[in-house]
Amino acid sequence: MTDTFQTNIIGESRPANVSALAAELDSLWRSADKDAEGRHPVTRACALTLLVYTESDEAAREVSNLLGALTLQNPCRALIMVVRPAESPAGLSARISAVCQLPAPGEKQVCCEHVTIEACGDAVRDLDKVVVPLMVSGLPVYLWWRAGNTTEPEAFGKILRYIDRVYVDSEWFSNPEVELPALARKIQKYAGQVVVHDLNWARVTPWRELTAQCFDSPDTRSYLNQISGIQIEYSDRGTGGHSSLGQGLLFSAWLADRLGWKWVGRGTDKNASGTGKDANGNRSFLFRGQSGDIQVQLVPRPGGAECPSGFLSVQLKAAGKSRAAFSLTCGPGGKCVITHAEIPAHAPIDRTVNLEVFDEVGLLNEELKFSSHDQIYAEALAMVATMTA
Amino acid sequence: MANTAVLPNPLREGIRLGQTPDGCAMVIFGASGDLTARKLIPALYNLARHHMLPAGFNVIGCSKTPFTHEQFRDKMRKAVREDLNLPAGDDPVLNSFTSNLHYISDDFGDPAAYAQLTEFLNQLDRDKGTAGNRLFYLATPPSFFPVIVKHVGGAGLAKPKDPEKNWTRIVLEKPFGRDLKSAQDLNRVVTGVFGEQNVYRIDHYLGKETVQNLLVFRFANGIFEPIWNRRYIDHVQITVAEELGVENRASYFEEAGLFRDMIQSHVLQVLSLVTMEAPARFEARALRDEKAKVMRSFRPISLDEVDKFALRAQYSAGLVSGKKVPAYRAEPNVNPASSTETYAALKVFVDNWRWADVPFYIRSGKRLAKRVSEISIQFRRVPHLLFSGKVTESIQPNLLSVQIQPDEGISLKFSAKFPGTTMQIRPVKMQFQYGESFGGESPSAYETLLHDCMMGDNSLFTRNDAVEISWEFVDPILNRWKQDGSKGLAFYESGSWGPAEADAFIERDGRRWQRL
Repeated sequence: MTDTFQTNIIGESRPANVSALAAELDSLWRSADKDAEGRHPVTRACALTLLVYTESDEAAREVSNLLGALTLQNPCRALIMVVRPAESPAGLSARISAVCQLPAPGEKQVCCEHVTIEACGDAVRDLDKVVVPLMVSGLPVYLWWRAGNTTEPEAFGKILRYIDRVYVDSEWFSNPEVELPALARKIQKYAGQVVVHDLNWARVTPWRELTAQCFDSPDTRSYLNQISGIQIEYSDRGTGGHSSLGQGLLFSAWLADRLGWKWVGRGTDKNASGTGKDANGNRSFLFRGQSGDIQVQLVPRPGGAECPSGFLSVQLKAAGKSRAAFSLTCGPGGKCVITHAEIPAHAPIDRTVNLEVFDEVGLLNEELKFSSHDQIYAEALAMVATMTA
Repeated sequence: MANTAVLPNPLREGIRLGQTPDGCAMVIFGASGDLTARKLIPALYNLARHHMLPAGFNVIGCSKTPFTHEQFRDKMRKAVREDLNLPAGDDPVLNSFTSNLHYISDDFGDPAAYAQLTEFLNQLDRDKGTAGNRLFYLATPPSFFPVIVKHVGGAGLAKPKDPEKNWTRIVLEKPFGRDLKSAQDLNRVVTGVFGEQNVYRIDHYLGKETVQNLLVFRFANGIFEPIWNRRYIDHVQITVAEELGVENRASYFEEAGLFRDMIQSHVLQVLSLVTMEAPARFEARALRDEKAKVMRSFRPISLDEVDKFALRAQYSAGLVSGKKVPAYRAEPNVNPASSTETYAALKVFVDNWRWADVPFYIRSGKRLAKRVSEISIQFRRVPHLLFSGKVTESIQPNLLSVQIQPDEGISLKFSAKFPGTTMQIRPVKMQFQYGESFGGESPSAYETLLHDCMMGDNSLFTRNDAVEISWEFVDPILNRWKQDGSKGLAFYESGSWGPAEADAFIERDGRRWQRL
């Protein structure tokens, strides 16, 4: 076993000596213990191995900064991969560090390992030989895919077979009408091997929850079958400057799928250019339900900084023998939602509820709570594919 | 309404969207007290923050203290802010939550008050979407329970308007009686009016994550259950220790004593979770059947045997957390000659096939060395020691510890070879701690239990038979201590681990209390 693998340097291209990297981690902990003498004792905690896929040093640095907040709730060994197959010279290099949470006086500090592994050029093919042995035995392995596309390098398949779950963020997609269906196909391809989670789905979850809540009461339940129109106003520069169109698509697809609506086609106001949008950028989708046609309209609103969760409002109208209306509106500061329900023979019910706006790590922490395949997401995604075909 | 058929909400399907209860009105009797401000309302607000309350959720506080609706809301807003350390300033979510809090100032013994309450509840159904569902919460001293229950029943509020669509439930705070007879009397009154399936006897201890995790630990892991029996376990210790004294509960505590306050309620429930058989399903009835079944196996302690199986003591002055504290008898509102116990130890046998002859040692007390609650399961020693000489002296039995508070977790102590050329054996610990493996905040016990109650899940609530069995078990001990007065009452210094008599109590069996 050679001792060629160094830490804290970007070394020349060489075979990745895994045991040396593991030894570096041991040494890191020994020195951390020594440094901590007389202060907070160091507790090494690990509940999972988290692989992070990035494509640039900058992205890796961002991830490093974010991981502190992640490991507070999900202590892990984080292996941040910087994958640049087109870059030369080819080579593998690594840096290691321990991230510790500052404890309250007298408490132990909980520390987690971060290993950043950079793979350039042909060396990407050998990435698995560094990464796989560093996966903590007996614990789950999750991959956080932090890149705008979901096309993995060919060699990445060797790592993928060791992964239990993959976390993507479809908000990064520049064209969700194309890329969400592509993600649906990928999920089908890997069905039974890995579970795929989408952080954008977690963004939509509070809105889905509050929408579902509108119909929990026996007095309102029956109006679900009479919904005739939905309008979703979304921010076209939501969190991180991305569009929240993907959230709008997922939300409307979820409603359509759950309520058993049949897909009819793009709305009547589709313009001649075939972009699927009208002159105002609105998208319209037509479904058929038990009580007739349902029109779903996605309306972009520029800016949207005041509503960082992505939606400005969701309005549902029920027609038929008796009319009803339900609305959820992003409240002041974007940290609350004002809900309004109006049904015949009842006084309107308004309330303001909390809207927790998570950053990227907060969303990941939320998603990490769910261990099983989310069939509802898979079905919603499949419906998006139908709606955007 | 467009359609009267109540269908399931298809939007709730899936793994993420937790169930929200139906709209309901929660009536809190004793709403001006500490429990409402410090526990109930903050817990409800937290549920609301996490979208776990329906839009049609309203609270009506009832108490003698005169408040207007707005004064009550202000008081509760302040309580929530303090309890949850919320920043100052306008908070639309808190304002919206408190706008659904209401207050009726009246006498619990006056039937007219219940007529007013009925009218108010009907108005909320019309205007606020409470949908005819009622949750009555008795946060009053227990002496008020029968009168409130009778009046609620008398006003026709205990029966749902439409049994197909509506529900009515009642939550009782402990103590559920002060002996078997009073517990039976109370059960008769409450179940007579509400029916047992609608009675929720709350024990916040059972809402704690670690206590619930006991079931997961035992029944979701294949490796523990096969050794969870008399063949492998030498004995079990359950410790519930507090640093606090009686604080502002002296009047109640003088009447109740530590044994009623902690052991009859919390600790025997925990003991039942440790010793019960696996329920057929994880649902309320099966779970509560198994708990009651094992409690029936607790070996009765007769009046004559009390000294052999139980011990009581009272704290004297001492030092706790660096501060001098007075003796129990010197506390305000405590009789200077009081014989009320502030510490108790108990040895229980569970006479069934699984636990025959395995002693369960229980100790609980106030003003002890530190605040800790732990279940320690000590396994039998290996049948034959391979190692010779002094090495064997350092071999300790395996110990599985379930820490309930403050550092929730589970640890396993076992022996390992000390590195070196000679054979030296040392005990080492494998430890799982909630705080290290799962960050983030857990819901408080009251959040869990209040939500369960609104959802109609009474798994974590104590059933009437379990209450009566536990009183039947403890009554002889309490009767004997009552007869004896101060005779036989031991004393311990505040800040210690209890009286020397407690050490002797376990040492005569050749065992020692775990050092916690």
